[in-house]
Amino acid sequence: MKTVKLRIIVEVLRSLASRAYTLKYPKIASPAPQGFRGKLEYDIEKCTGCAACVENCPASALKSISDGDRRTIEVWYGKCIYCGRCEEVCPERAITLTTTYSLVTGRKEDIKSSVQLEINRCLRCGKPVATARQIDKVRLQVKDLVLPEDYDAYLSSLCLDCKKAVQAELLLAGRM
Amino acid sequence: MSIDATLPIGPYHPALKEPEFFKLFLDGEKIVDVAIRLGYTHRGIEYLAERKTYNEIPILVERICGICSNVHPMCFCQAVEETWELQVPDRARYIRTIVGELERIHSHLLWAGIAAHIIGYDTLFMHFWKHREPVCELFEVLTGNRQNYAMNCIGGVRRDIDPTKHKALILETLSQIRPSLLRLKNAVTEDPVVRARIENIGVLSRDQARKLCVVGPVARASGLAIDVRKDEPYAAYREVGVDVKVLTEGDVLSKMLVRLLEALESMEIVKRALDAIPQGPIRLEPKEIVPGDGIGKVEAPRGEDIHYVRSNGTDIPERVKIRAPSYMNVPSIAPQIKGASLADASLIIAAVDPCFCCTERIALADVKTNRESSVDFESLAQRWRRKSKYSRKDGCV
Repeated sequence: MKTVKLRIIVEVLRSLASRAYTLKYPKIASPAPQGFRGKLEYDIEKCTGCAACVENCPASALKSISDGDRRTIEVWYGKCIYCGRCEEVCPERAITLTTTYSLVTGRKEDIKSSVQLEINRCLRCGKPVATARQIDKVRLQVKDLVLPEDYDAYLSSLCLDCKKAVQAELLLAGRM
Repeated sequence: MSIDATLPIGPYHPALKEPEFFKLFLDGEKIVDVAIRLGYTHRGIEYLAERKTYNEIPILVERICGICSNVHPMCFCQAVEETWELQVPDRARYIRTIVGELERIHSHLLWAGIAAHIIGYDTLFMHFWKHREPVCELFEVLTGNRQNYAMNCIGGVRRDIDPTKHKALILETLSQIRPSLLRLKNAVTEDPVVRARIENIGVLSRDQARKLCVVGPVARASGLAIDVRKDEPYAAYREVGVDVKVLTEGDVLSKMLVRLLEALESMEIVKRALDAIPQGPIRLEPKEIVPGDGIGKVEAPRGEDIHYVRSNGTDIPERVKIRAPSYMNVPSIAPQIKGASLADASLIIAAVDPCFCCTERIALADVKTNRESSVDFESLAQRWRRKSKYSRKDGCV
């Protein structure tokens, strides 16, 4: 009995001397460690609007909306489950999951983020083809191939149907 | 034997996370019988999984349970790997082992804390959770999140463990919590009040355990030496080895001890795996989707978890079947709870560890007067805690 009481007293004194273990979180910031999967951020300079992230998002937090001349890639943080699939599949490394985790807000606009990209239209028929950056990327990739000189300027800016038609024309004319 | 009252506990949690329904038939304070009903937490995960691609399912099944969030994706990936005959890289197998064992430590500490909370010993609860916290913080660094680690993918793991930085951090964390855990284990076994509340309560005999096919720590506390890690080694358990802890009493005390001993053993496994981890790739890109079927088996902190996958060659599986360990363990509550006093009911239900959660209300019905009343969780918890107080007054301390 005595030893138990003594042990309690020792424990109390030790607890009084020691600092509280809990963090004073909202008052004092508690940053997440490096490598934490937090708020998703786009590098607007790098994104080509290929929508690989949209295809692979298991929670459908990402959306791709194409209307005429603009493609918008949109992320709703409220739906995001922070799995990091988009970061993994992005071919341009344009997505990073930052260490920001506190996304509490009273305004709906704050839990949304988007990238807007220009869509090029087909030079022949005027149908939307792909974003300007995607076409630039294709041009860069086929740079070293032996192609007719006007491929760059013309053929790469056509829609799929027109491309086929033009290629057939070129073939018949003996230029390919 | 007369039944003078029935006490429905649940469905929004009796004492545990999953909403289950327990109808207790009482004779005074004594529990005469119990009716268990499951199915309140049905979310249609299997149905959903049959409509998602193989890449999305690990992330979906990860959310079956917040505590075992490495077990389910690992089990699913193993089932798919068996179907597609994929040979997972060695390094990935070791990383799966390390994450799985760290998860076991945090899960068992969480459970021990909850058990301490139910018997009204909140100091012990705080201490258990205090030492669980470094493990969760370790997960933040290793995997990027405290829970829902998103570590597993078909063919390996998604993140590597840094051989210098992460290894040092893991070893430091483990060496920091190990002495505290040993001290807490002694607190459980030596404190007379705690002992009085959990010893010889909720006894599940070896025969009953075998008949009810219980799995995991519940079976091992009753003297059944079953452990998937030992019986059918997966990941890197064949190489690192497992010392299966078995106790024979089958009461709540031995269920607690078996979990604490397992947490300590997990630390040893993590250390051995970190020493033996080979270099190499962590992920294998699957080449083709092979039709066929496969089974994944993983020893979750709560017992054996099984996933079955049938592939028809498309990128969406034809059938996904999941059997979580708690499903096997919950029926074992019935023989344990019969004859116990009402104040021990919550502890016995909790001892099986079918996940803990926040219950709000419990309905009381008196059969004699046909009167129904509703009490909130706290006032019933008061009753459980009062029993601890009585034990203290009875001269245990």
